[in-house]
Amino acid sequence: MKENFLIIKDLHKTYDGKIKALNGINLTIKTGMFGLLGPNGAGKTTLMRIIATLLEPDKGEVFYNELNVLKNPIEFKKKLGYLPQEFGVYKNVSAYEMLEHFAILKGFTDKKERRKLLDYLFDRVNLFNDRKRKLGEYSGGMKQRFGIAIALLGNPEVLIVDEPTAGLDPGERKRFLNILSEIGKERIVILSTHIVDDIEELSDELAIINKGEIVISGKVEELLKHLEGKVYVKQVNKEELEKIKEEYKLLNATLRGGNIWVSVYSDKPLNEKWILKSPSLEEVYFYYIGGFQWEF
Amino acid sequence: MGVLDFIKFEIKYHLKTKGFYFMFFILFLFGFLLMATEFVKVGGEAGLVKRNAPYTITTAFAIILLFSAFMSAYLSTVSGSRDFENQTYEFFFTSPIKKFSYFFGRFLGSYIIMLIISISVLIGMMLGELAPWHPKYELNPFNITSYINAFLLLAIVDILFMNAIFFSIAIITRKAVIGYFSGLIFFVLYFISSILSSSLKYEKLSIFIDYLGLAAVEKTVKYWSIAQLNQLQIPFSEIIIFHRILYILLSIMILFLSYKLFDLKEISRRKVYKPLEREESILIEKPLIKPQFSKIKAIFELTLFEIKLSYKSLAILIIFLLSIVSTILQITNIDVLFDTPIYPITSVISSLINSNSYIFFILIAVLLAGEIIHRDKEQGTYELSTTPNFTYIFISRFLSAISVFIIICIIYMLIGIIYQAINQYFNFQIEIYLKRLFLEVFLFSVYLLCFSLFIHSLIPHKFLAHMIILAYFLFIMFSDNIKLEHTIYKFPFHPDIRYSDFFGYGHFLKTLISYNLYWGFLSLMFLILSFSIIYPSLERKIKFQFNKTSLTILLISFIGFMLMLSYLFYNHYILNNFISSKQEERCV
Repeated sequence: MKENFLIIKDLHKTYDGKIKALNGINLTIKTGMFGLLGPNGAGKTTLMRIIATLLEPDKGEVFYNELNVLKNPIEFKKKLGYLPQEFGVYKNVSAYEMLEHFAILKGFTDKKERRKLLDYLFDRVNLFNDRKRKLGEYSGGMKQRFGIAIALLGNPEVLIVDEPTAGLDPGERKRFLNILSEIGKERIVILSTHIVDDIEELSDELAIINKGEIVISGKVEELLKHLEGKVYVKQVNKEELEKIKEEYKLLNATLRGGNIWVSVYSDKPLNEKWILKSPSLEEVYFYYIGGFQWEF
Repeated sequence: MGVLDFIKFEIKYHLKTKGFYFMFFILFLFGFLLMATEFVKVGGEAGLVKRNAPYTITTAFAIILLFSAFMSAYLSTVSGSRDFENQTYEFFFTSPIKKFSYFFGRFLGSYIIMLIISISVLIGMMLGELAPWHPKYELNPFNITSYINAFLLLAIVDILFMNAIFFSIAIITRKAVIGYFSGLIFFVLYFISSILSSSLKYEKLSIFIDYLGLAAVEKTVKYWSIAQLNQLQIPFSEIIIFHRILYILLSIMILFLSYKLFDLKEISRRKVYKPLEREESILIEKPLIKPQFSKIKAIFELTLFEIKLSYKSLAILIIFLLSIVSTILQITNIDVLFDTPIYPITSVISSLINSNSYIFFILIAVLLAGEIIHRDKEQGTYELSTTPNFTYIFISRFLSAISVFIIICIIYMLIGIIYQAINQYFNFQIEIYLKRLFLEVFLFSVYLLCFSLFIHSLIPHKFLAHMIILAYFLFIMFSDNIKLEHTIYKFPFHPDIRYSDFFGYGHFLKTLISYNLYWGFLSLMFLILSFSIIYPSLERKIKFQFNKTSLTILLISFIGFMLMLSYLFYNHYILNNFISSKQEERCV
């Protein structure tokens, strides 16, 4: 299988000349699942939109193998599938008609062949029996799955999904992640989310983005290794928590049965009241975005 | 939170929007130009009635109020449906507020704001009147009472009535688009009613149909001399008082009814989802299909999809139905002309259809253009369109709009033929229908569509773009007054064309074709430019992206346009001597 690369070089984007959304993003993404993790407002959606050629950066370049994406958007779109964070549908047409519309735009102009493709996609996203319904009758989850079908049209070599599991129930979420996982074996799939569990389940590699900058990127295991032997957990009360926040970098705090469990980062071994634990991806994430913020 | 709090909030909200200042400025400017220049002439100014006579001020103010119906629809809709559009209603509905306070607070807030905006017309007119360049004999001495009187006589009730309708529609349907659209329907209904009531036999009816109160004013001053029109304030005559009370009661009834229908509760619109029984378990094999793009097939299928969508558009459907009703009413009224029974011959029927259809084609063209450009953004499908063949969306939408025009023309023709057949006139002369509808109305609509597409592409806000197109038509209406009387300046109009049963178009055919070519080339330029602007990007930066084909077409159409302009200019100004209406008057 040929390995493909998406190379992002020094991307900058500022909105209205004031809000810096991206500040020199550099990334190399290769075939497989790639997770982009970051808090709300970190610049994930801006980055996704630039790669999808929906936005123009102020500076920087994006290459898919040798293809300059920003200079040849039409060529790149032939290989692209994109599921935006939020999208609408024409409520008064059926799901089949709407997907057919997008299929034609993707170049599937042969009616018989197109029908086979649409049936396959509806089946894949578990909407086959609802394909003739008007989209206005679809629930949030069904609409999301319909969006996935649009993104999968044309067997894209690059699939970008922005916050895809928001609004899906646990069953639908599992099903969707399975689809992504299967697809991700043979193409580039960029999964942008703030839900760490989604990345943990799927991605081989990830990047953490914060305030428009990539703070760390690499394989999931490597990132976990960075914190190995440096994460401690302890049960504390409210007063202690304030002290801990001042002394250590807080990585997590959970209120369980009236007790607060905190995990912190420490370079040096801590006393016996602290329990050393294996780092989770969530803790890695909070470590790189500057610590966990928690106010009781 | 009581009514007053809601009113205050509503007023503050509107005062912080750009739309308020835009509307205020536009109406102020209109009022100012009306008084200060020759540019705009409205009302009874022709002849000896002075420019600032109480009668002129009142009629001019009434006409501006008619056009401000769109603004009233916009403001009332914002107040009535804002919480539903922004999904904030759940916070309001779960707060300890009374339905009365919410409903009337929002309504009265928007009503006061619209009154303030309407005052801008009068302020503009007053400043225009005080402009130093007027010769003294043209004006009466400044009298503020004329303005206050016009305001009291018209604005308070007219705006109450308009806002009551628009606000009620918006708050009951909870949809902004229906609210905005109701402004258009209102305008069209007013147009139809004014046609119907123009006959002398409906004089009394016309007074009560005209919600503006202008017909009641006309009735009051019907037998006034020029001196009276110049000097006397329009009184609150019996008929005016009756008319105003009638419309106040109507407004209260509308508000009462919508208050009863409105509830601070969620209404379920979406059909309850019932899962279908699963068909037998299927496992569809992944088909090995690669895109094989065929341009013609793609454009054909996309166009069919777009036509289907156009006919599912409530706005277009309603205007279309109204146009049919209006056409039927028009042609069924022609059996007697000047007390002489006439045959429904094709040239007469087609003339009536043509003259009636222009306004509807204008509305449909402008609406369709708005849909073509703004639909994906409005419906949120824009980001899904990361497709390599996005340009085909534009082409197919444009073609579907053209198909809509063709279908409407054919329906008009069928209405005419059916009417002729009912009246036992069987010499249908289909070629006359086709010639007149397609050479005159259809092409006019296509040109207007191209122009509207261009404006909508430039302006990221749909409503604002509609307003600009409306402003353009107002400009055209009054452009004679600034010496732009010639049709070569009035896109997409052509000079008055006569069709005779004996000679057909005769020598007018050359004029018609020349103008169609002239505006056709310009329209092609508009089309290419708008096509180049809407190239997909989330940020609406005005940026033209041309390719070789579009540049070539642009260049050819520019050359064609310039050649036709030269030809028409040579014919009208060099070979012949164009006489303006003023010169004509002087000659007479």
